[in-house]
Parts: sequence; C-alpha cells; structure tokens
Amino acid sequence: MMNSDELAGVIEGVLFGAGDGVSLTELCRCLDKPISEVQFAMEILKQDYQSKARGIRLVQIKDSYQLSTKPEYYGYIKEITRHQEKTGLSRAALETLAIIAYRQPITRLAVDELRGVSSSSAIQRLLDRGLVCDGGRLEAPGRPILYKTTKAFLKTMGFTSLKEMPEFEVFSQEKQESFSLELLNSESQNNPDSSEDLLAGMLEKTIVDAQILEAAQ
Amino acid sequence: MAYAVSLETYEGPLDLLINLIQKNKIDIYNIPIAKITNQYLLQIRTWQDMDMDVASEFVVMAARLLEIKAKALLPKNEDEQEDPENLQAKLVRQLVEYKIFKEISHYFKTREQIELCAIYRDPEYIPQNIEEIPLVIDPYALEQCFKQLLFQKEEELEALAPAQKIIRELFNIEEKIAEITEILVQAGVDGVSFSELLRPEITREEVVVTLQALLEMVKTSGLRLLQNRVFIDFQIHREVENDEQ
Repeated sequence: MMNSDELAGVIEGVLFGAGDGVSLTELCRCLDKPISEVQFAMEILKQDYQSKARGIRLVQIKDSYQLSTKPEYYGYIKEITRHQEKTGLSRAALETLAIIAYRQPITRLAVDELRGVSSSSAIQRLLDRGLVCDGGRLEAPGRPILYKTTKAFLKTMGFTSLKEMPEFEVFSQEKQESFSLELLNSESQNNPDSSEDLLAGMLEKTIVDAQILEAAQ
Repeated sequence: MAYAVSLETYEGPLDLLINLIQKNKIDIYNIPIAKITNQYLLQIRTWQDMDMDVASEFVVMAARLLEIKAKALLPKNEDEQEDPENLQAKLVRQLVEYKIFKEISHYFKTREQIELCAIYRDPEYIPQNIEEIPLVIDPYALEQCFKQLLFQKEEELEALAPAQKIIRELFNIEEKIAEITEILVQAGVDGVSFSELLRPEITREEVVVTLQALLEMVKTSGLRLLQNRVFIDFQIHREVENDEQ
C-alpha cells in the first residue's frame, strides 16, 4: 500500500517526466487512485515546495499542474543557462490585454473606445502570442469578433484561473493605495496549512517576489 | 530632422490627459478644463514644432476639449441637448475607466516580469508507444458519434450557405450553332443576313449568343461574313465546297 508521501513523490516524478501540464484527471488515471487521495498528496507536494530548501514550484493553471523553477532564483539560473533576456509585452499590448481580461468577451471596437486609440496591432500581437483568442461573434452588424483570454494568458500572468484576478474595483482610484497593503496583509493572515490559502499565497506573494527578484538581479 | 529625440511616450490622448492631470495634481473629477486644454494643445504644438507626426486621435481629443471649453464659456441654452457638464462628465468617466485599466496593465506587467523568470522543462523527446495506449471506446458508439458529426456538419453548411437561385442558361453557343447551320442550309447559296437571324422579340442575351456562335463558326467551320460598310447589317454565307463558289 502506497502512503501519501510516496504518492506525492510519484506525482512529482510524473510532473517532471511529462514536462507539459498534466490534468488532475490524467493523474488519477495513471496513478489509479481516487481524486481525493491525489489531491491530498498534491497538498503535501505543495507544502514541500514552499520550503526555502526547494528551487521548484508547483504551477496550477485551471485543472492542470506543471513544475517550474521558482522565479526568485532566475538570477542564479541565467548565470548557467546564459538565456537571452526575455522580453515582456509592450505597454499597448498590456493595456489591451488588461481590457480584454476584465471585459471579455469584447470586440476590438469596444477596446478602441476604452483606450481612445486603435488597438488592432496590439490585438494582433496578443493573438500571435496566443494570449487571446476568437471567442465567438457579436450578433450585431458586421458580426465582429469577440476576444477572450486563453490558458496561455493565465500562465503568462501566473494566475490559476480567471477567478484569481483581483476584483476590478480594487484598482479604482480610491482603493489604489490600499491595494498593495491589502495584498500584503492577506498574505500574513494566511494559514499556510490550508490548501486554498497556499495557492492564494502564491498570488499574493507576487509583490514580495518582485522585491526578491529585484534583489537577485 | 537629422537626430532622434527621446521623449515621454503616450499610448494615446487619454494617456496624455491623465499624465497632465497627475503633473498638475488635479482631482480627476474636478478638471479645470481651460487649463488642461491649453496644456494639451501646447503639448501637441511642441510635437508639431519638432516635426513629429501627431496621430489623428490626439487631434480628435483636442477638438473635444475645445468643444467642452467653448460650451462652458457660452451662456447656458435650455434647449440644448448636451450641456457642457455632460460632455465633461463623459470625458471624466472615460478617463477614470482608462486609468483603472492602466493600473491593471502595471499590475499585469509586474506579474509578467515574475513569470518570465520561471523556467519550465521541455518534455524530452522519446517516440511514443502508440499501440500501448488502451482504447476503451465502443466502436458502435464511435460510429454513432461520427454519423452525428457528419449530420451536424451538413446542417451547419446549410445554415452557412442559404439556398441560391440558379438561373437557367436559356441559350448556349452549341445549340445556336446548330440552329444557324440549319437556317444556312435551308437558305442555300444566297445565305442570310444577320438581321434575319434575329427575331423581333429577341432578348439582348440571345443577340450576344448569336454573335458569339457566328464568330465561333467563322473560326471552326468556315463561314463567310460580308459587310459593305461598317455599322450595317451583314450577309452570312456558308463556305461550301469549292465547286459551288
């Protein structure tokens, strides 16, 4: 009989071996274990990765799991890999992505109106990168394309699901100052033993991560 | 200009306006429209003086600001549909919304920068053992599914391409050639004139097909067309055997 610790080890092996994301259903099938047992073992793995002694983290995108290096160690990794500097999205693309993410599904025209400038080239770049996709048509004259975000968007931004994005109102002017505090507070209040909080912790740690990152580079 | 100047760049007129509002430490809900309009126009003039192309969106916004400013100066007209406060409120709403999305894009940028530092493993390429993948599918269910998809596809196609009216081809060149040949055989040595081939009630389409048929016959079966001068009727003869000529 395999205990949970062993199962966690098997999961780690499977995830490392697969490289790509593996869904919970696939894990249950290949391990021949009920979903509850797999989830419990996944928790053990998650907690293990929280430790400073680990350089790997567990990334969850929707219902699939994947391993990656911890971003805060990139400074050291690139010394070895000599990776070329990865370029992020342009300001126009980020603005457009922000609008699509919070207003999806949305037409190009509606994005143009919100930005006050034409967004067709920005949308094209997002489409090329696979961050947004065709999400159907609006039943209006011309049947314009409605854009929505993809799984690649979640991965790029480090979100588990769209629900994990902060509420739109969080960014409004009155609350802006409290926003960063809010994120930091909720992290310290987290009980690291509960699974949901661990995940939430991953999100809310971004600000801390950013600081560590800065220091590492 | 021979040298490049590095300047603060703006994503658009809304971005420029927000920047001006922040520089002046103005409350976004209480914009002194005259002051902001002047600064906005000044910025655009500066760009123009530096030989820079000013995108049309910036010019449109300048016009909008001037309209708000002008209407605010004029005495209030009761009948007017849009009073200046409305115009300004509309702009403010747009600015507030845009500012929020700008905040979100900064937030996204921070997150993106962190995620860019995560390295994922490329799956090692090992050829897959396809036979070993267990196939737990009922072949009849698969057949059903396939048929359903085919049927669905047909329905989709029908929905996409509505029934079209296909107009029957009333005349074709081959038939016309046969018809003309028959008339020419009956007419014998004298031949017929082009006008004789055209019945009084003839349609434009049939005239065209008749002429096409004649040209085809000249090319393939030896037909002689005689016309005394341009723009008048012409005579059509069959180029029969040499002894008849």
